[in-house]
Amino acid sequence: MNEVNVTTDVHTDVAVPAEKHAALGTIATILSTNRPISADELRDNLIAREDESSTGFGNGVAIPHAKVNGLTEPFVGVVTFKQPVAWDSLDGQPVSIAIVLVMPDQNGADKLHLKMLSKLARKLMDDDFIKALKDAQHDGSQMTKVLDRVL
Amino acid sequence: MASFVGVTKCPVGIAHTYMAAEKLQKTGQADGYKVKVETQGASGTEDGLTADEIKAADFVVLAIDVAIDGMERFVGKRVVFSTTAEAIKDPQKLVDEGKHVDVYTGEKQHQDETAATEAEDTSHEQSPVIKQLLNGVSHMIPFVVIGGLFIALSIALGGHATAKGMVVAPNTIWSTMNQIGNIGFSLMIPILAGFIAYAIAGRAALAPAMVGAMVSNTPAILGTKAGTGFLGAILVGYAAGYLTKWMNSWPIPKSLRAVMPIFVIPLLGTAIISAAFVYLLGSPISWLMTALQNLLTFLSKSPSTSVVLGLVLGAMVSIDMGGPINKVAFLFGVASITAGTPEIMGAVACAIAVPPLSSGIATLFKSELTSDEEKTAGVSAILMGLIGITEGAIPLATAHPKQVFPGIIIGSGVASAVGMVFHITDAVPHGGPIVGVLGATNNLGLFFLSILIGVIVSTAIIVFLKQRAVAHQKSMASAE
Repeated sequence: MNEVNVTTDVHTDVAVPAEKHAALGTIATILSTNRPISADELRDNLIAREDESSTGFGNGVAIPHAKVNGLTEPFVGVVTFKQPVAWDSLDGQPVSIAIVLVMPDQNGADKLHLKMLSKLARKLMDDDFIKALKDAQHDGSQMTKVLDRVL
Repeated sequence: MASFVGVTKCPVGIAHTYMAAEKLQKTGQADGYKVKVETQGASGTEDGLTADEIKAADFVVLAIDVAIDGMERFVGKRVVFSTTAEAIKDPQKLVDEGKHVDVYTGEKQHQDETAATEAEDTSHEQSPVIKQLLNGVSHMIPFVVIGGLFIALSIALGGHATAKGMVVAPNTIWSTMNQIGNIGFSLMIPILAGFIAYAIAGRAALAPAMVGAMVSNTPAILGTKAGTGFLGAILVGYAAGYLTKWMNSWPIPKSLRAVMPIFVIPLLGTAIISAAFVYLLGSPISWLMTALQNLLTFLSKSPSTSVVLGLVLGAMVSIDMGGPINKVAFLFGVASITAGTPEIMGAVACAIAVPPLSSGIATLFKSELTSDEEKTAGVSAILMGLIGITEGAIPLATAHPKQVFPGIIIGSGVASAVGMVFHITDAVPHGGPIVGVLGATNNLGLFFLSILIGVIVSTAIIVFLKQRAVAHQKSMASAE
């Protein structure tokens, strides 16, 4: 299979507001820095998806995701929180790790990249992988390594 | 080995589609299933299910937040409807549910819609039993239309009134049409039973229900003078459906599972259903027919009871429309022609047209209870009524029994009673306005008037009961 690399953007132990929508605002600001995208648009789209149904799938991890204008290929942002945020998760647990999938807002976006993202999504159902994420929660370079094993 | 297939789809198609798919796969495999999950995501459909995989699967799990492509592939399979969130949170529950979930009949699209239709259905008092019945009715309607209209046209254009009934001259196009119509009518019975059963238990139930319905309508096998008509077909449909559903729940060794729906269930089911009809229902039906005939004989002895006789005859004509009770009334009328008292046949002829005419006319009135499908069936019912084919009312009566039966039974009774009062005679063993047009009755005007009175009474009752049912639903809905 043709492997492509998906860019990752890791930020550990970020101080975010305790409320989910506000926390998504902070996440959008951090991830749009140095990128040709609008922080407001990213925030709005993340919130819109979040309001449809919570992306907190359990074990303190959430997977917010959104499409946004201006990107040419998707990237994965990882933001870990100093203080867990109530996320209305499937298991009711607050979230301390957000794996943020950001995709270009165009149909038929490069399938290989999308495939990599779906591979990551599947991997999140693996308890060992979740454990590796949690172990790297406070260590940016370790977190990047964990993700690079998949992406 | 045991297997199931699944489809996952979420709104964006980037994360939950795949997370749900992964969970279902892992959980299923841990339980010893062979699992394949199709993902309908942003990058298109992946791991597409093949027809063979779907066929081999014991059940289907749909973890979908929005409508998916290819729902029709799962008609007749056991299908678990759920969302991606449920699949991620509690996949075990979905896999366990698969073993005894209901068979998908092609109605709902995804869970939200299910919830919506269920809410709507409760307000329409549609229990699963009614839904199963309506599945049979909607499949039956085209057959009734074909049968009824071919027969009606052939009789209207090529029929001659004779002492043996309406005879269509052999070797003419009309006789060909008449025979084609008869095929449509005879298929109506197994189709009704078959698709009631199909809605309950899927494909495996079709054969026992359809063969059973034919058995229940073949007097020679039953040992009676008449088959059980459409009421018998409905009974067969439910019996075969639930019997199959029960047999499907048997713990069967994996090696035998494949032969269950194509061999074991059809054979056992048909044998059990047929035996039940031949040995349990055959003699009660014969007894009932004799008893009814004795009642009619008793009532016909004295002129003072002629109005009562009319009421009873009319009610009997419409109560099972072509079944044993109808047969007794009709044959009693036929016998009266040769016995020199054709007033009795006259009364029967008045009643015969009432069920299809009135239930058909009732569909012209605006009602939330009347579907477009019924409106179409209504037009052909009116045409059949004019030609004296009572069976035209069957789909309409079956779809709304609580409203239509009171109307047609009372209306037909009234028509026959009025016919008795007017001393209408009919020299041809057939009914409806057509026999009057062809000159078989003694007074065309009064014959039509009798029919008209019956139709008005019946239509009024049906329309009133439908309105009351709608109002009742609304008050129930607002009370909630």
